Amino acid sequence: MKTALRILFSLVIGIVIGAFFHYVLYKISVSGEPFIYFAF
Amino acid sequence: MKLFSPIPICVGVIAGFVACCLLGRASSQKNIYKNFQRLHPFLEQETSYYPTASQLVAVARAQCPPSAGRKLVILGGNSVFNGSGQKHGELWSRALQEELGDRYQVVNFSAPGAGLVDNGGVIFECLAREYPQALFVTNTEPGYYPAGNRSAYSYLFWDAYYKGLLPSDARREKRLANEKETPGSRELKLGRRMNSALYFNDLWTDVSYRYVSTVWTSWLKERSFRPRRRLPDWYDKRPPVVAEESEFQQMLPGHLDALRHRHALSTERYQQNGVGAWVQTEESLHQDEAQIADLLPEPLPHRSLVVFTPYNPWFLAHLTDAERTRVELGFSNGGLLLEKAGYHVLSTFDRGFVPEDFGDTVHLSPAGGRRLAHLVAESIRSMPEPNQVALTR
Repeated sequence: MKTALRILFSLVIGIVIGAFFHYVLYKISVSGEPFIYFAF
Repeated sequence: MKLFSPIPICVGVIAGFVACCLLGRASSQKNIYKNFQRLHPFLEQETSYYPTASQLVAVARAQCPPSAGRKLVILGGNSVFNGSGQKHGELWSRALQEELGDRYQVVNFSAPGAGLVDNGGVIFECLAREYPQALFVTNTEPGYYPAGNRSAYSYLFWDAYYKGLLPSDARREKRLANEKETPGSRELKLGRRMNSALYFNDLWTDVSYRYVSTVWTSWLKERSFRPRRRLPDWYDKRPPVVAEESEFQQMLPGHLDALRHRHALSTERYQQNGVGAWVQTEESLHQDEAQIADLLPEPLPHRSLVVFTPYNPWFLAHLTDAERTRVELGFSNGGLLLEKAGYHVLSTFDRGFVPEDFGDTVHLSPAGGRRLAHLVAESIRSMPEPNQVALTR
C-alpha cells in the first residue's frame, strides 16, 4: 500500500513538473518588453 | 521512509509534458474568445498577450462557419481599422457589418501599429483555400508596406508559417531564405518552430484568457493576473473621443510633428524636379514596389482591398503647401503601385472626411468610423467575385 502511494505521489509530482516545463517554454517565449503603440 | 520514486517521477514528467502538448493542440482548434469584436489592447501584445494564428483562425471559423454561406471579410491593418478610441458599440467594423448585411461576415483582426498584412493578412492566407470567396480588407498609409515577417507582429506570421497554415509560395521561400537573421529573430523563429510541435503558446494563452494570466505588465499592473476574458474592451472605459477643434489645438505641436514624420511626408522619399514640382524619387518608388511584391502570394492580392485611410484635414491645413503636395502624391502613387500589383485600392484622402470625423491626426471618431464603413462597404460590394483559386499548401 505504501509503495503504491509513493508511486502515485511521485507520478503526480512528475506530472506537475512536466506541466511546469511546458509553461516555462511559454513564459520565455513571451516578450518582457511589450510593444506599445499608444493612440488615445 | 522514501517519499519519492525516481522512475515514476520521470514517467510523470514525460506524461505531464505530453499531456500539456496535447491539450495545447486541442485548444488551438477551438474558438476560445467569447463575443470577439477586435484585438483590443488586453487581447494583443501591448499587454504581453499573444493570441496564436490557430486561435485567430478558430475565431474566424466560429464567426463564419464554411456551411453558413456568408462571405468572410477579414479585416487587417493598423489602429485606424482597429477602431482606436471607438468603444465597442461604436466600432467602425460593426457599422461595416451593418452596411454589408447578412451575406457577409466581418471579422476584425487589425491591431495597433500593425502593417498592411499583419494579423489579418496572415489569417486571410491561412483561410484563403478553405474560404474561396473570402476577402481581405486592410488599411495603411503611403510608403508603409512591411511584409508579415518584418513587422512588430511577425510572431503571428512565424506561428502560422511553422504550423504549415500558410499556402506555400516559392517566391516567399526564396526571400525568407535570403533574409539576414539577427539573434532576436532567430530566437523568435525558434520559439514559434517549437510551438508548432509543442503548442505551449496555444495552451497557456488559452489559460491566460480563461483562468489566470501569468504575465505582469506595466499597463495592467495589479490586474495583470486576471483572466483576460474578465477584462472589458479597454476603450469602453476611456473618455469618449471629443472631435473638436479645441481638442486638436491641444495636440499641437506634438501630433503635427508626428504627422510630419510619417512616410507619406518624408522628405527622403520625394524631390523637386526641374520645374520645381514634387515627385517621388525613383529609389523610393522601387523600394515601395519591392515591398508590395512581398505582401501576399498570388492570387491573393486580387481578393484584397487596401484602404488608404485619411488624415485629419484640420492638421493637413497646418502643413505647408509642399508637405500637402507630398501627401497627395504619396496617396496617389501608393494607390497606383498597389493596383499594379493586383490589389483593389480605396483612397479616402479626398472622400469628404471633415475634422469632426477624427479623434486626432489619423484615428477616427465614431462619426468618421461610420463614414469609413460606408465607403469600404461600397468598395467591397463593387469587388468582382473571386474565382476559385489554386493555392497549394
